[in-house]
This record gives sequence, structure tokens and C-alpha cells, in this order.
Amino acid sequence: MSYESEGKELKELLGLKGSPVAVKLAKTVADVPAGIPKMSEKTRHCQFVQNARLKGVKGYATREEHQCKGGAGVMGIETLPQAVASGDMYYKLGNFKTAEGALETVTAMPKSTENYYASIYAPLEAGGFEPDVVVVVVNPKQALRITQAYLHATGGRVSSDYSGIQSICADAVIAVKERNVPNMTFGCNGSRKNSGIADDEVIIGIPPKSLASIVEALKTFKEKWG
Amino acid sequence: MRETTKTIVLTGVKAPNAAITIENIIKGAEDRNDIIFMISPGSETGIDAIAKKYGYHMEINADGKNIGARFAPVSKAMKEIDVTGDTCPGPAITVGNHLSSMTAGDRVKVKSGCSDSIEDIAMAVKAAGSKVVETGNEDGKHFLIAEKAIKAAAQAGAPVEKDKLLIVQSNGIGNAERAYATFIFSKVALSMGKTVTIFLLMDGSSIARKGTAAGVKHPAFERLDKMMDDVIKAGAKIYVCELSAQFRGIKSTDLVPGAKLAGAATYLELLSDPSYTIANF
Amino acid sequence: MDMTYQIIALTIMLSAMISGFITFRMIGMKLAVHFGALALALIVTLAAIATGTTPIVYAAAALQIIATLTAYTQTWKILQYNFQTSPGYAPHLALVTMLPVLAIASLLV
Repeated sequence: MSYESEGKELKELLGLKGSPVAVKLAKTVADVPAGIPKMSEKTRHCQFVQNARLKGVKGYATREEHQCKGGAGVMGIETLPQAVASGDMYYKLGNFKTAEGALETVTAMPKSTENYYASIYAPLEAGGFEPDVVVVVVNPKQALRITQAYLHATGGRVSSDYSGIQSICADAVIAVKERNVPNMTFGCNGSRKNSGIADDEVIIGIPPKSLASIVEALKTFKEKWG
Repeated sequence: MRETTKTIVLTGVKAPNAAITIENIIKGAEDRNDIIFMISPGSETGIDAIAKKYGYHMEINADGKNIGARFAPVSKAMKEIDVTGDTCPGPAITVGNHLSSMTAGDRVKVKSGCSDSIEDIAMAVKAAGSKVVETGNEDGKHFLIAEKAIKAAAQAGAPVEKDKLLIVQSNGIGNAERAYATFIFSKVALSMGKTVTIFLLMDGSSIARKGTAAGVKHPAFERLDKMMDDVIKAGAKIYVCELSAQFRGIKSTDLVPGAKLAGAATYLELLSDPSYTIANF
Repeated sequence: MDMTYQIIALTIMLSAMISGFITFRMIGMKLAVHFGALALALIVTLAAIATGTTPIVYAAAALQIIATLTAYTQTWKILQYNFQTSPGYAPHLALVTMLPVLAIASLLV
């Protein structure tokens, strides 16, 4: 299925800065879609996302290309480093008062249940492949519209699950991939420092299957509310 | 296409958000299969209401630190087997074969006109490391629902306390000495605080038949049926091999109160239980 | 009267005393009725052979049949429900089962 039109519409209807990002996890090299080259630079997952969003960079990254092992770890591309898994790193960084608190948070962090060969990134409208998750970096009002659009068809409420660490990898990608439910998260220290997530920006991971109805709803809102 | 049970980890999501997230997951689910949600203790609030709302049957399993809330769609066709009329060990073997071909988390419903068969099958299910999640009556038949689980590896090195006695007796009223000894040993074991289980098979099944033990009386002891009754009242369980009874025209209604028919799976399970000391004479 | 059949019956009953005793122990020492009947039959048969008196021969025959019947009534449940142990009772039952035919024959011939 081509997400070209949906990507474009999402961008226009919300007035997004940059593109929605298609993120996919590949089990083997054969699962990497045709036309997607290997990333030329070694950097972090959140930076790959921002590059796709703001610069239109397409590519896939194996464990060699992933500089941040915490991010690669929760996505199943790498083993989560012991310092991260034990909570030690975040305790030392100052996120938590006690080592136990750090461990509890890291234990509860969404993690991939399977191992993967690589992660793939592309602007949604140019990707040409079916993503596992669509990641958007938005301001609060755009986040509001997305939430309203998600609930438009069936009603109810949404719940966001985050902890202030590993937001773009664990919260925005893995949690959404496993649950098939959108998740909003605030950019963590790492993603803000390293990939330039702005102070007034938040991140939402959207299940691809919800896109069509979200776009539909956004159109309705545009008509009703302008 | 093989259906397997998906597990979604939500241990970091506390109530009431766990319920909200679960509701959204169920809403967005493409097909109605079983899902197990791993949540942390205290986060179950409101989840059963969600299950009801969307037509799922919910079951909570506390598994150490976390809780597994299993959602099974109510209208989902679970495989059903009817073993009414099958002679032991047929039913236990049928169910055992079925379980071995299932995936962990899948369920099967077993029905039988005979409640003793169902109890024997329950033994076979547990012996295979799986779980019995429900038993009951339906349309005049007894049933149980078994859920396949992967048998956990036994913990090495833990010494087993042998506080139970299993007496296996294949001799019946025709061998008064052995018949008496069965209950004499039982009395002693009970007085030592042991749990006593007697398994009567082959000729032994005649001992538990109503009226038969009354015909056995040795000058040195009280009537055999009285001794058996004392032992039952003191808490011993008496099982009678179903097949042996059937061969001898003994039905479950012919047994003395306190004795019940059991199948091969029960016998084997008792024999394999390391907490039993076995006396077979 | 020809005592041949009664002599054969006597032989069998003597043999049955020992097999009966062995059986008696297996059954839990509770075979009094049959044992009594067998012992009585033995004594009366001896008397019949010794005296040759017809009424005594009839009495002996009757007691021999009763001895056989009581053997069965007392072991019936065992025969019915104890396949494995029944062979232990077979020698005695086989012996006493020979008695009714001999008893009748001794009266007719």
C-alpha cells in the first residue's frame, strides 16, 4: 500500500514542519525494501528520524550504524548495554534519586520482543514501503488534532505511556509497534540534545493502520473548525 | 492459518491508564484472538469492564511479580472434544495428544458424560504441565477447559518431603492377608500424620465394591469393610482403577462411599509424584 | 451296594481336606460352613463304606453334594471379582466339583 497521499495530506492538514517519518524494523537484509540505501553516517535513532523528517534522508541502519546502543537495544537491533539495562546509566546521569528507581523505570520501558537486523527510515510520502510506525514531531496543538482525529471514529480516551528517557525509540516506535495504539511522548534529554527536538515539540508514534481514519477526521475538522 | 496467543507488555502503565490503553488495543485489533496483557499489580482496575464491553472473557493469572490478564473472545470457537463412552485410558491419551499439538496459551474444551473421566483427564493435563482453567457442567455433561502451558523445568537439587503414602493393591478379597494389610498400613500411616492414598487395581477393585469386603473376616481382626470404613473416615482416599472395575462388572455406583473410579493418568501421576512413598504388595 | 464310587469320593475328600486348609488360609480363615460340611461328609462316607447301610450311603451322598455347594457359595464373590487370585482356589474347587457326580453315581449303580 502506498502511503504517499496520506503522508502528503497529513503534512498539509496539520501544517507539519517537515514530514511524517515512516519507520520500519527489518528482520534480515532481505526485508529491507528495494531502493533504500544503507545510511552513510553512524548516528543515533532519533537523529535518523529527524534527518528523514527535516532533510528527507532515506536509509537503513544496522547495529554498525547505530551509535546509541540504548536506542538500538530497545529496538532489538543490538543487545541493550548492561549499564542501561541495570538502570545504572540513568541513575548516574541524575534522572533518578535511587538506583532502584532507575532500574524500575528501565525494566518497565517498552522493549522489542524480537531481534532485528536494521531499522529503516524515510519521509512517509516518499518511502514507498509499508512502515511499522509513523513518527511525527509536532507542537501541542498539532498533537491535539491528531488525538482528536484518532478518537473521532470510535470515541473514548487516549493514554500516553512515557518516562522521560528513550522517548523516540522506546515510546514512539516500540510501544506503538507492539500495541498498535498511538503513543505520545516528550523528547528525552538525548533526543533534544542530539537530534534537535525543539522545546515546544512533542513526538507521537502512529500505527499505520490508523492513518486513513486519522486523515479522514482531520479533513472533517478542517471543514468544521477551519 | 495457525492462531497463537499474543502477549502485550504494559507493566509500566498504571491504572487507570492501563485500562485506557487496553481498550484502544482491543478496539484496533484486526481479528478476535486471545491476547494476554502483562500488567503490574494494582493496574487491573477497570480492565474487566473493558473485557465485558468488547465481548471478551477475562482471566487474571498472577505470575510472580506481574499479572497476566488474558482476554479470550467469548464467541471464539475453542476446539471441543467429547470423550463420552471412551474407555480409560482412551480419554487421557486423546487429550494428551491434542495438548501436545497445541501452542502455549491455546485452549481446548473436553466433555464427558462421566465426571470421573473428567477428573482423570484433569490429572493428565496437569501432569503434562498444562493448566485446567475451568470445570463445570453443561447440557448434562461434565467438562473442563485446559490451557496449554510449557512445562517449567524442575528446580534441581531441592529435596522432596515424603509425607504421603501411596498403597497400590492389585489383590482383592480373595487374598485376605493382603487386603487387610492395605488398611492396617493405612491406619498406621494416618496415625503418623501421613496423607494416605490407596489405589486398588485388578483384583483390588473388589475390595471397594459395596458388600464384598463385608464377607472377609479374619479371627484376629474386625471385618474388612469396617476397617476400610475407618480408614476412609480418617481421611484416606481410595481410588479404584476404572478399567479393572469395568472388566469385573463393577460400576461407580457399586463402590463404597469414599471410593471413586480413577483412570490410568491418575495412577501414573500418583506414581510419579516424588512426595509419595509407594507401598506395593 | 457297590462302594467303588464312595471309595473314590473318600479319596477325593481326603485330598480336599488339605487343599481346603490351604484355601481356608487365603480366604482369611473364614470357611467354617464349607469345612464343616466337608468334614461331616468325610466322616459319614467312612461310615457308609464301613457299614454298607443304604440310608447311611444316602446321607453320605447328600452331604457330599452339600459340601460342594458350600464350597461355591463361600467363594462365589472371589470367583466373580478376583481373576488373578482365583487360580489359587482352583485346586480345591476342582476337587470338590468331582463329588456330586460320584455321589449320584454311587446311588444309581
